[in-house]
Amino acid sequence: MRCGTWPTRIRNRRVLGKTGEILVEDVNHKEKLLSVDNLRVQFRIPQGIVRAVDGVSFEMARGESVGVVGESGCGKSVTALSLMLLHPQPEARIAGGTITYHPEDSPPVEISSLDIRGEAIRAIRGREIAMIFQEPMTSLSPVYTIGEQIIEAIRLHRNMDKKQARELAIEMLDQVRISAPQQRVDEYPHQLSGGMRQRAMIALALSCNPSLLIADEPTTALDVTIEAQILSLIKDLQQRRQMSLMIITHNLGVVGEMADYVLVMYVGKVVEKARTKELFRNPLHPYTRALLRSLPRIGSKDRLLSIPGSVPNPYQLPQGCPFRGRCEEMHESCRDEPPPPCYVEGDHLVYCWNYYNARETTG
Amino acid sequence: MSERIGAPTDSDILVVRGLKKYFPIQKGIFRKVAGYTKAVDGVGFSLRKGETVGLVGESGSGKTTIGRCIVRLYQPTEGTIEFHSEGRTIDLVNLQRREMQGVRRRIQMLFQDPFSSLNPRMNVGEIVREPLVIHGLGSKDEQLDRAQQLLELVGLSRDHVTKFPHQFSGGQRQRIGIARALSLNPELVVCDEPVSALDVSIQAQVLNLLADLQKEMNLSYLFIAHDLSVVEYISDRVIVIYLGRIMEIASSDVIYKRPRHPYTEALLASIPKFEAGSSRRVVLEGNIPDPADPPSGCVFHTRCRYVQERCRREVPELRPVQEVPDSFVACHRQAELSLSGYHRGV
Repeated sequence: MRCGTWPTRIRNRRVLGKTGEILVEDVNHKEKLLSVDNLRVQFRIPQGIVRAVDGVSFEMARGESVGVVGESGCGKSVTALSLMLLHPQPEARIAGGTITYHPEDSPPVEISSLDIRGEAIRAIRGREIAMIFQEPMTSLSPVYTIGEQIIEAIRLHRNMDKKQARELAIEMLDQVRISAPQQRVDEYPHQLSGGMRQRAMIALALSCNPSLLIADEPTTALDVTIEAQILSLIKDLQQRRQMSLMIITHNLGVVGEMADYVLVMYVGKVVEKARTKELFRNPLHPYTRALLRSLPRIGSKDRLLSIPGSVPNPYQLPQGCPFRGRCEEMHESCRDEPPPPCYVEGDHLVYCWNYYNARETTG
Repeated sequence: MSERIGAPTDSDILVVRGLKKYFPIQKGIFRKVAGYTKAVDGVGFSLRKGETVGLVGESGSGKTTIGRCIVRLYQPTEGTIEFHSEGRTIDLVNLQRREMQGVRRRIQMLFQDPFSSLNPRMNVGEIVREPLVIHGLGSKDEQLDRAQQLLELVGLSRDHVTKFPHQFSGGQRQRIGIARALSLNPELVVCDEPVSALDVSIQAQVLNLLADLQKEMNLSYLFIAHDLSVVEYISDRVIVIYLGRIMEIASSDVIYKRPRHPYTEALLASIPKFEAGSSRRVVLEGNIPDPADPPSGCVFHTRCRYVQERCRREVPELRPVQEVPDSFVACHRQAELSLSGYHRGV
C-alpha cells in the first residue's frame, strides 16, 4: 500500500498483486470520469453579457491528465471553477450545457444541474474533485494552522476522530515531502515559504483522495527551480494514486511536461484539442501556431514572430471566428460564421475554417 | 575581486565594483538593529555601450536591488558605480541629490507591473510628458509634440495622449511605460522584469520593440528577469546571480551551451521543455537560503550536487575562464567539472 492508510484502488483496467505491482493492465480500456458537453458560463456586468465560457466540450478518463492553455481572460479558470460549481456568485451562471461526473461505483451525477449550495455538490467538492490555486497565501486561511485546515477537510468528508485525522494530516505533509511534518503541522501559512505553502495546499487537496485534481496555475507564482520541484511532485502523486489531473496554465512548457492531451482556449472557446506530443509536433490552429512561434527559445536569436493586436474585448466579440482579427490566414468564411469542429488525423480537433474548407474540397 | 572583471574600456557605459546593499533587520519597540539582510554582497560587472546585459536569478537573489542601486532608488552600502557619459566619468554612489538629477536623464527605469507603475489619474500625454516637465525641457506644446512622437515610436497612436491608463491593455500600458522611459533620450535603461506580467502573445511584441528601439537609439539595457529563455533571447551577455553574489558571467551564446557553474546548469535544467513532452530532472532541492544568514563558503553549496569539503569553507572568487573571452565563474571546481547545457527535446 503505497498511498498511506488508503487501500490502493483497483481500477477496472488493472489487476494488482499483493505488493501493489500491476499484474494485468488493459491500457486501451478507458473509464470515463468526467464529461463536459457544450458548457456555457456567462457573466452579467454593466457593459453587457460576457460569455466567459462559450460551448466548451471535452471528456476525461480516469488517470488521464488534461492541460488547458490560453492567455488571461480566455475562460480557462472559469471552466475549471464551474466543474465544482465554484464560479463567482451571483454574477456568473451556467447558461447551458452539461457537466457529468462518473463516480467509481455509483451512477453518474450531473453536476451542472445540482444546487450550488446543496449537499450533493458538497459531497463532490474536495472529496471527489479537489483544487489547488495559484497563490497559496490567499487560498489558505492565515488564522488557522496548516494542520487545522487539513484536519477540517478530512473530518468534513470522512468518518475519523481528531486524532486519526491529525495523523493522516501529518502523513499527507510527509507525502508532499515537507520536512519535519510533526512540527510543520502546527505552523501557520505565513511561516512557510512559497514552495512549501504550495506543497501544504497539495496535501490539503489530496487528503480526501480525490479522483480528479484541478490545478489552476499551480506554479505561476514560483521560481523555476521550485516550479520544477512542485510539478514533479504533482506528477509523481498523480501516477501513484492513479488520479486524474486537469492543469490550467498559460505556460506551454508546463503543459508539455504534465498533460496527456491539451485544450487550447481563446476568448471562451476551445480552438484546438490534441494529444500533447501531436500538438507540439503539428499545431494546426493559426492561434496555436502563432503562440508557439512567439515564444523565445534558447539557442535561437531569430526575431520573434509576435501575434499582432490584442485579445478582443469580451463583451464585443467579433462575429465569426474569435481569432479572425489577429489571424494571418483569414478569409471570407471566417467573417460570418464561427468555425465548425474539424477532426484532422484521428482525434486531433481544430476549430478553423481553413481545415474545414480543405476537407470539403478534397472530399 | 572586482578588479578581475577587467579594466574599464572606452566602450563601457557602466562599471560596478564591489557593490553591497545590506538592509537592517529591526526588532523590538526601539527598532534595534538585530542583523542585516545581505541583499547584494560584493557584485562587480560592466556594461558596454549599446549592449544588453541580462541579470537572472531566483526571487530573493538581489537582482532587483542591483537595478535599484544603479538608478539610486537605493543608496548602496558599499562599492562604486561608475557611469561614463559624454567623455566624463560620474560616480553614482557619492553623487549629491542635485547632481543626480542631471544623471537621471541618462539612466531610466522600466518597471515590471504596467498596472501599478502608471498614475491612473494622469492621461497618457501627461504621463509621457512628466519627465520633460520635471527636467524643465521645452514649452508645453513642444513637450506634447514630443509625447506624441514617442507614442508613435512605441507603436501607439498620436491621439492616445488624451486617454487614461485604464483604457489600455497590459501590453499597451507597457508601451506607455517605455515611451515615458525614453522621453529624455536616455543612454541606459534598467528594465526590471518588463515582460513577466504580460501574456505570452504580447511578450514577443514588447521584446521586439525593445530590440528595435535599442538599435535605433543606441541604448544600453540592463535586463532583469527570471525567465531564462527571455534573457537569453534579448541579451548579449548574461549574469547569473544567487543570494546577492555573481555565480557566472558569460555571453548568452556560450552560457546555455556550456554553463560553467552548477547553479546555471540547474537553472537551465529546470526550464520546462515543451518539445519533449517528457519530464525534466529536478536537480535543485530545497529553497534559496535566508540572505540574513547566508551559508559559509560558497553560498550555493547547500543545494549544489557537486559540493566538496572546500566549498563549505572557502568563498570562491569570480575568476575569468581561460580561453573564453567575457566568461567569469565563481566555482572552486570550475576546471574539473563538465556541466551539461540546455538540450532541446526531440
